[in-house]
Amino acid sequence: MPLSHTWALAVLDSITEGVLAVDQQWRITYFNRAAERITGLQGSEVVGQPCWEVLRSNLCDNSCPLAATLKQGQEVKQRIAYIVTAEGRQKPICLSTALVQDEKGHILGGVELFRHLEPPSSQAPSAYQTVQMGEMVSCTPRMQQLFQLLPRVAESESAVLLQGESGTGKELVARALHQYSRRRQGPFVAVNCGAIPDNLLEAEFFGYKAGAFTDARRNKPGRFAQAHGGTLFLDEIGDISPALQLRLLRVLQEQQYEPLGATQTEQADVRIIAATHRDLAAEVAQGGFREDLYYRLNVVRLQLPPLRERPEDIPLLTERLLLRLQRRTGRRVEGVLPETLKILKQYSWPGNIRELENALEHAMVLCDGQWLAPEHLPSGLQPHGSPVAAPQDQTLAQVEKAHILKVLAEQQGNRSRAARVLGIHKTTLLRKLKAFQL
Amino acid sequence: MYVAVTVWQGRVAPLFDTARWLWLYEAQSGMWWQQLQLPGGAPAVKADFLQNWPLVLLVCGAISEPYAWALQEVQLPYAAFMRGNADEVVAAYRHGSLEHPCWYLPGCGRHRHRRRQRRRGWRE
Repeated sequence: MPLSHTWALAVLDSITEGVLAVDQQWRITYFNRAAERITGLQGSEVVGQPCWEVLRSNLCDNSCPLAATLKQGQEVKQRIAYIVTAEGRQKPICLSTALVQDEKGHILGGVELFRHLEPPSSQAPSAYQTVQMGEMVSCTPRMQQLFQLLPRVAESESAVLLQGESGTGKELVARALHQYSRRRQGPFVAVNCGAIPDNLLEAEFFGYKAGAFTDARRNKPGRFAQAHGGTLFLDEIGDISPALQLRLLRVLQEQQYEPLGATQTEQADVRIIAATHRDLAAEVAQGGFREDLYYRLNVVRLQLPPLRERPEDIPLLTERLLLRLQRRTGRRVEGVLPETLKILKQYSWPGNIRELENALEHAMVLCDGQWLAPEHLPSGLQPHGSPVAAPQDQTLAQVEKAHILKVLAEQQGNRSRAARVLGIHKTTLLRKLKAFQL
Repeated sequence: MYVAVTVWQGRVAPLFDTARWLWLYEAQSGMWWQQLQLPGGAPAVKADFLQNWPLVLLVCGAISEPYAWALQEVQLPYAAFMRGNADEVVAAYRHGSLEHPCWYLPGCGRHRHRRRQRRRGWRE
């Protein structure tokens, strides 16, 4: 009994593979429900459209499988590709094509079957939407709350104190605050207070006039002068000496300063953003930091979470950092393997995003392929313990035996070399082989 | 200054990621200027190549996030998820009608923020 048209369509709509049919002019004539689900497009909006404008896969303009089928009659089977959704997401698919012919063998068009290759669970997209602020990006609610605050904080002229561990992106937050502020046309000057010798800090901050001291042959503007009309970012503010704390306090109170050797005061038209990895409140309690300066700086305080408290951001940050590294090094990699990402997500990242960037750069240097594997990561990130996959129901002896066998196989049965790889004496290896009856 | 279009068979190439050819048009006159071969490879390589040209706008088809991020990093103004004959798209840009839904790929007209612009130094 021949199938009715309705029945045939119902069957096509019930299968899990996407089905897309085109005529000989590459116009879509049929688009089933699974195809709608995979592409995120409605059949009604794509029927009659050229297939390349609907699928926009990486094969469309150079090696279209449907073209090979329609022009040469070749069926394409299980080809891996990716399509790009309206949101810009790459969706990996596996596709096959076939000719559509009538009873007499006349070619009517082609059909493409495709299924979405689900990403490994470790790379599953976050439940939260990605939000970008300046050069920062996050998909975690905690960072996104911070992002929401930034424009309002930026609008004010109040001093801001950024607290967070080293490498959490304090300078990026400061830059974002500058970019969103009324001072954005002015300069953004960053000073790492911890990197400047204490005896030079004053000259560095306030500058000096010619003749102020030996070798001061000409006027040198300080960072306050350089940041005039803009933002002065004082990183590691907790590291400055008590004497400079006092000078800084006076500038913040009076909005004026005197360069070394100057006879006149100068106006300080800067917005101060300070940052520290220290607990300044505790430093104040212990007498290491001036209380009055602390309150001058701590008008608005923003706390940046460490990376270990937002592991959901690691895949996203990894992707972004790889992009940046590719630009810097000219080296190209496709990405990280799921097992590499798993290690990255499990690590505690005491150095935060800076450490993540360094680890990825290390991996890119060692990687000679397209995908960063666990062995390319710095040794400190490698999971501890035996490299042998050890199911929980195995005894130590069984794991040891399996590892010895693996190393022996890798060394083509050469026991001397295997003993060296295992880090034991050859006689110890022979004793173990005898014990394991190998 | 130029308007650039990634092209395939005289139309906006369906996917920026794999586009091989770029047509440049003079922004003021709308005249076709020249064809360039785009480098393949990493998103940053493509973005760096494009950054070397004085572009008021890059018009392209679908673009995946890594490539979009690369363009944003170099602050290149672009209109993505566009379609149509390249000459006609440039004419639409000059007439200010590039936002019309007919120039968007299916399913993409409903999404906003397709056009990104330089944070500084660019005026359409």
